[in-house]
Amino acid sequence: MYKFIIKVLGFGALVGISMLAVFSMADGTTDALYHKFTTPRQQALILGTSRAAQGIQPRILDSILDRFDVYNYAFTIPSSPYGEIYLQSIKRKLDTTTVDGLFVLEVNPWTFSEVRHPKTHEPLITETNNFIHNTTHVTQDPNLQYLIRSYKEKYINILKNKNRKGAYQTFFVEDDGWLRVTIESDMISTELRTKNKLETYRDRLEKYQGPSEYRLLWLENTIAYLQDFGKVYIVRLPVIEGMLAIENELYPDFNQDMERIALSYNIPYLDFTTLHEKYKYTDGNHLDITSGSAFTRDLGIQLNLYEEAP
Amino acid sequence: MLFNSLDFAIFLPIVFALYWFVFKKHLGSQNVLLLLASYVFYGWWDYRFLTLIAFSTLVDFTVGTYLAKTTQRLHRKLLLWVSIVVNLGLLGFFKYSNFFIESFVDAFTLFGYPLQGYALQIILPVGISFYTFQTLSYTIDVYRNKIKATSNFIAFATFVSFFPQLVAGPIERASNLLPQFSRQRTFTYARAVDGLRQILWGLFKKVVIADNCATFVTTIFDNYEDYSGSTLLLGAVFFAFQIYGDFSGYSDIAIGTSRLFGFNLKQNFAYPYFSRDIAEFWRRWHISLSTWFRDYLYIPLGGSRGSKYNQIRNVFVIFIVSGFWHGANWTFIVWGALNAIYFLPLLLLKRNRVHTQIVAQDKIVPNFRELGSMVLTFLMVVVSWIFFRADNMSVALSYIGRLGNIDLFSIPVIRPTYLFVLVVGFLVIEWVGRRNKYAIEKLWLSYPSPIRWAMYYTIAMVIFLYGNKGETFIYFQF
Repeated sequence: MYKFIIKVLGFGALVGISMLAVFSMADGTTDALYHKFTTPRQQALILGTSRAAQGIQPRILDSILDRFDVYNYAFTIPSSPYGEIYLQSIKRKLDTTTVDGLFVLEVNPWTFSEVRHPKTHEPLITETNNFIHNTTHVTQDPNLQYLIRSYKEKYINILKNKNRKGAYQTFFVEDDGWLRVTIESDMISTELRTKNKLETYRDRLEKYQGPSEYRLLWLENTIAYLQDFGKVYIVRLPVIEGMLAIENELYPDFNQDMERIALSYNIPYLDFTTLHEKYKYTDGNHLDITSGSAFTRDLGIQLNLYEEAP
Repeated sequence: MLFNSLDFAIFLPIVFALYWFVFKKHLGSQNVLLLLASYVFYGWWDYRFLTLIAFSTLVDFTVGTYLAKTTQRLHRKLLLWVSIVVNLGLLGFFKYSNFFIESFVDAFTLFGYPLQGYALQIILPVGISFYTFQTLSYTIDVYRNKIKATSNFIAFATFVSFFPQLVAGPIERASNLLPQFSRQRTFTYARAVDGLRQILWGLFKKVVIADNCATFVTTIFDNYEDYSGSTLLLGAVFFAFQIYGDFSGYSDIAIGTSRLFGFNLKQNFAYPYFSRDIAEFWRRWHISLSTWFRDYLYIPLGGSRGSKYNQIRNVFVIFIVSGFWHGANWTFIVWGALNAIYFLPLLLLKRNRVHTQIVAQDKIVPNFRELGSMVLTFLMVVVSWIFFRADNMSVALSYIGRLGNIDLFSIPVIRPTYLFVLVVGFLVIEWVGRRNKYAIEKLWLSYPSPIRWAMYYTIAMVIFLYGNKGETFIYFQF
């Protein structure tokens, strides 16, 4: 029996060490999320969905705001809409010794829209049981919890993506959390992606069932929590006109509701949708890298005005 | 609890340690531990399912006890029918209610009398088809006086719910498994290592071969109208490997796990894709179910004896019932009927027992005739799997229709090179190890231990690197 146990443990250790070696190679190439859970607690956070994950570049904000600590902790619409689960994750990522933090909360109508079960019509909390819920350790490197529980791909892709870094890699999460997405930017590809994206969101329009009280409440809870650690801003990123039209149909009073919330917490609401023609998009919904850089600069200038205000 | 989950990776060593270290000296307490572990394992899906298995256990234990006490033919028959009605009633209600309601409504609609039908909200308990057949075999064998009824309730309950094979077989007979609960089990190094080796191979089949094929099978079957005939053929071939890897992988893990606890389960798969005709295929595929139907349905109906009409009828009955056992869908029934059509000529020409030994028994490679027979049999099986995999008859027929297009000879648009390499590597290992109970049983035993370990390490790392995570087993739905 003991011979058996020793051999099994020996073999298990050999395989286990090899697994750890593979896990230790995980980085910003692994997927569009992993690297955000491997960095230390942060003092200044960009929060929200993929629009913010791709569109707000922390290093540019740092340079304009004369900071060095802005971190992009935004994910996707289904995984990080404002809610109890996202706030829990934010709390785990936030350095709670912070007193002069900066928090940019990206908002858009989709994250505040009610999703209901198709049969029971009960409101759905879409992020329950996804990676944002299951990853309770958000500052570990390598993050075994994420890799074991939430990483969807085969582990061979950790190695493959690493080798592919550069020309063939479409996404890369930088050390400051920014999701760099490199895709074909010719007009035909962009138009095709935009057409598909608009179709997808038109379909979503039928699924969503108006503003969600739950989401609005948890935006307020998130603001209230973060205000103890620094200044909070609500920001709506630009999108193309077609997308804006769908969003206005989905949630016509969105801007009024955001302004009301901003007013009640005495924080600014910055709506950049009126400047949508100034920027270029990969799919009508996400800013491309160059425009993301320009937008972040514009955002930084706006924030600077508020930061410098007495 | 899935075999290919972290939960099971924690659960198994705990039960193993308690079994061999804490309860080693007392057979009864080992059985109690296995029973509790089995209920935890099963309840992991949904604790409500436990009431069903407990009910089935109670009924069949009671029936067995009373069968042992009475010699009156009528009483015995009545008791047997209680067991049959309860077990098949549970199976029928949970698995087939909606099928019958829908078919009833469809039939009336077809004849111009549309009915307002509604489906029942029923969750199919995992593995119900397996454990009801296992427990049913006990009462039938007691009724036939083939085995004695047990008076040990814990042993019987553990026999019904034994966690390694509870949800997807092998469907064990009481004559083989039940006595093992009454015998002192001893730990042997060779058996335990052999069990681990079989678990490793089963995991490889499941998470590497089956789950990787599944990704492409799902894409191709869900969008079959967009693909060429060659891609559809590839999709069907991948499904053949998916279902084999999935199901035989489960059986390997089940048998290997049982060996860790000192139990011997029966072989459930014997390299079916190396069969030279369909009769041989059915002797090598899901052996525990095939023999169940043979012993409890086919032979009582007369088997291959009697008139030609009876022989044909019996073949169709056994294959169609087997298809229906797999699922409440016409596709399974047609799958069964198609296999009956494949099988019938062999039976009528009395060529159904030509190939009883594994192919190329004393050779390294098969001759051309054997190879041709294997390929032909495999292709016949692949066509039948299309019915098994398709969501409904319309999809199955359309899929097969598209296979006949001229673009069958074009290059498939889906060409996952890594998967081709894995499948070919898998087939080579299966071929080399085809004389054993599972492919790697004795494959590297003559090599020095560093080489042997290197091979096992390679398999383990391929499982880790190429395995899909947390995919359920196909046969759980049956």
